[in-house]
Amino acid sequence: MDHLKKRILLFALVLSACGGKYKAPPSVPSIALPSAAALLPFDAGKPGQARPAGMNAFGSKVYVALQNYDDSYTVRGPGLLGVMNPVAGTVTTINLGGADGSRCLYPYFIRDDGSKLHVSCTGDIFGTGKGSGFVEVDPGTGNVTRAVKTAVGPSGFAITGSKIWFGDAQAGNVYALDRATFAVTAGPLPIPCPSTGGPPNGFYSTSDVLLVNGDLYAACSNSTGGILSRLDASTGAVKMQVQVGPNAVEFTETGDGRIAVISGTDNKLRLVSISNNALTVAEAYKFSDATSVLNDVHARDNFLFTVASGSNTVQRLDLSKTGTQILVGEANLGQSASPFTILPLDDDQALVANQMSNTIVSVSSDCTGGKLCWTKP
Amino acid sequence: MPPSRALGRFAILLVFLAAPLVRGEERAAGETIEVAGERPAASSRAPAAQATVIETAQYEGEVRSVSEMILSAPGVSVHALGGPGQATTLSLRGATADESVVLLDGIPLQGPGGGAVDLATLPAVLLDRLVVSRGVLGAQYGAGALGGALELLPRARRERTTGGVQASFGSFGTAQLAADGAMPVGESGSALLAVQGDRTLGNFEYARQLTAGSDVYGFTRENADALRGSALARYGAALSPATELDFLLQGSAGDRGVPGPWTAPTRRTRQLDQAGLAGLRLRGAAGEAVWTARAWGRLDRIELRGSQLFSDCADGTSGCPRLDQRSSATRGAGEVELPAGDHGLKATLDGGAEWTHGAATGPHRRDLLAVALADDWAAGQGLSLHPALRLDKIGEAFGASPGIAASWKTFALELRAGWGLSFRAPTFSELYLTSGGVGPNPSLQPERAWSVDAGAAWRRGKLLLSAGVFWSQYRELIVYELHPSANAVTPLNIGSAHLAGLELQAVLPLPAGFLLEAAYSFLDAINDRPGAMQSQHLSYRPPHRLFLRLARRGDRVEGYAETSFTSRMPRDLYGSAFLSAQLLLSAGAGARAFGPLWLDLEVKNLLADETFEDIFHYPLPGLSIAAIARARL
Repeated sequence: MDHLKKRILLFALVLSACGGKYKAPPSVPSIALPSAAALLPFDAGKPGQARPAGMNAFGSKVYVALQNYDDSYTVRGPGLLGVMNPVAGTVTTINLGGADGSRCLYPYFIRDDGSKLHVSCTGDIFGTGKGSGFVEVDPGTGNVTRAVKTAVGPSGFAITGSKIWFGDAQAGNVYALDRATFAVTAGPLPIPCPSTGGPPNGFYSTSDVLLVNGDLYAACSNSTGGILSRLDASTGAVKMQVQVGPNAVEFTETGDGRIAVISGTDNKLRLVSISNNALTVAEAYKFSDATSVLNDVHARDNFLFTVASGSNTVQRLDLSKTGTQILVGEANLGQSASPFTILPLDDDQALVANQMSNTIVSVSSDCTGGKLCWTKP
Repeated sequence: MPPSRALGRFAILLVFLAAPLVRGEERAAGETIEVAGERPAASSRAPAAQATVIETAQYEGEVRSVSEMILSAPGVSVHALGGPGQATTLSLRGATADESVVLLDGIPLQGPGGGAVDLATLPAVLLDRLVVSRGVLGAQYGAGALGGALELLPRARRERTTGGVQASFGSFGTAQLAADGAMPVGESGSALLAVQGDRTLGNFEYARQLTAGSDVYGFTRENADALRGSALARYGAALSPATELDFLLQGSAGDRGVPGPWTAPTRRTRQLDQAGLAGLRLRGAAGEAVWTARAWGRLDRIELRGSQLFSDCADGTSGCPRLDQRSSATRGAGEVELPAGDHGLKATLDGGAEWTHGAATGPHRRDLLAVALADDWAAGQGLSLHPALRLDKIGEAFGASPGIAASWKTFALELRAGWGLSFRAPTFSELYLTSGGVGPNPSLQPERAWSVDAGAAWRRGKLLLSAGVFWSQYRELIVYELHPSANAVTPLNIGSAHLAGLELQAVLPLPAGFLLEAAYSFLDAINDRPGAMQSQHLSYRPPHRLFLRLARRGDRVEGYAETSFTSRMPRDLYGSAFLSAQLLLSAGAGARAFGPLWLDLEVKNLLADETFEDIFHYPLPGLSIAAIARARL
């Protein structure tokens, strides 16, 4: 009972501290992304498509990484940063590609340090291999202020006071980028990976890195399992670890200080509780049989927002509930949309980046006028 | 349609079939109700294997594909990527489609990538019989028969002039026209020609929930049309009193839409395919020995248009190349069967080569060589033993496939047991295919498996009661591993599994010309790969499958009622997502209009359930109706 009271109190504090007094203004139902020449194709006769990936809200704008590849996953232009006004539905772009257009290819994650935006560039993994690294963008001027090439394709990353820690998308390692010099100063630093399914007849991926209460968290996973490790944010030294299931593609800090991890293959949401000397995991929710390929998770207060690319669905989960009651809303983006990432704007409204239909769509409880809205299970 | 109403129709049909019995209908003198003779128990290549023999004649008056007919056998499951004309593959005892062999008149068929055979490209009307042999049967059928073998026996030559024609038309613009004719040629020869044409618009309705707990919405399947033509020619003659020649020519060509999963339909993707084979067989006797010499060649081509890895594209535009993949094979084989006392020794030497060409794989060739020895030993007291050993070299892959089976017969009871070990060489696609996010792996090793099974059968006239159990172990399975951050998959020898099962079959002749068939399969397919999927059930292997069929064939009236139940099965490897159970009821009835002309009406999926789907989110059609007319002279 005491535990429950503490949990309620914690939620109340979180709500008052983080939730914001007002809801976000309603976004336009759908935002069309640039196409054809606006994507600055390397060959004007072979333009790519926008292919939106990671999103980040900064000020009144929402920034989205545009991967700029075609139907065959061939990169057709530089990585771009879409700058959206979700209320007005306008989009402009920032070229991340540099002089020859190849400085940043396949941009994915966007995070901010309070004044600058940082974008990870996975690189042209199916082609030249070029274009992996990081770029720093001044949102005020819309200019790329610094860039660094990395030897590996970075995945998710976390920004500390002095470093940017990033994971290796194709191995169980983390690296550190010094924020002052914008140079890679540490890595590869191995993190614990599953004992099964690794190289040479398998793979590891460090899909994401997160900063929670001054500690760094990174997950190494493959199809046979996944391990979330707590690392020293200064040195990258491993402090402790916990099993979090196969293909732990994304994780986020929840409103009550836990870490929510989604699996891209076993359809489960796991919650990791953090204490000084242990990490404990609980399976919080199994998504429906129709849900497939979970790809992104973000938290807002006591709510989680998830994306399932295979079933073209997004979910709204309420962590103050338990069992099957956790799912409080679901929306279907339509056939072939392939939603990729989600960005909650408040406890109810979220933007969804559809990678195959090349749109940004708003989902909320407002069903008027044919808007896409949450349906209650 | 509500299920209650559909069941009502089902009952009406049974009453209709039984009506002549109630009235005490008498048959005219000389009418024949059933084809005489006991059905063979197994294939001659694997006489003691667990097997089911299916005569295509029992499905006359019905629109039946090969995949629908083999569902009457236990141990079989079929995966269909949609409705009529869409790709359909076979799974025997939980093995993948790559891990079973399909043979047409003894000639192994393969897809253009060297792997799974698309059963939808095989014309059922051109066949006399199908034999499903289950178990690791590499010693009998060659490397690759890890789940077993499906033998398609084409229409046999006839000693008299005969022929038939069948036409059908039904739901979704589905139509079929088939004809065959056979005649004696010269003093000792005979020839047969059979053709079949199929087409469907494929625009069936299906229903889905868009989110958990939401309303069910209706959709129409698009780009699921199919057009196919097939032909079979056969000529045989006695060259001398002791030597016989048999020549077979078979071809098929198709053009179909590839509709894609319902979550991401591919409305612009099309597939064109052509396949042909020719085989020549000489069979003779020299003293007590019987020898067979055989040569055959096979060509396959498949072209995908408007296709991308996870989507479609506009055919003819840049960035949307046509993917043309071809394979060919030629083989020669010699076989000698030599009786020696209680032994029937058989030695086979088989060699040849196979090729693949195409933008996705590049050109490759590999040589094939096999040596096999087998013995059918009648050990006395009803006991027979069937040891066999085959050595296969397929390109760089080399392996031995030993096997032994035993059977003991007394009166109507037969007990069988068998053991086999074999391998499957990687296909050309697995070794070399590079397309979008799929990578090749030229260093792949063969998959390996062994199994043991045992069973009992009671066979008397047309009565058959059989039960069998099996246990099999697979290792070094080739698995396409997703690299989540790189969007790429690569085949790797990382899988292992064990499978156990129970197979029951009954064929019961009933009074008044009714025949009841039942088949039940239990399958426990367990993943042994270490990690999160260990001890979980393998995906898309139904634990339970039940088939029931009641049919009657008379001189004036015929009909059937049939149900096929497939239990809930895992959709992923982690036991966390499932495909719902599916119950399919079908029925048909017909009457002889006049002379040799029969008119039939058939209804499939009587419950009109439009929520069915098979693997990879491919919807299956709801209720369909077909009218069939046929005549045979």
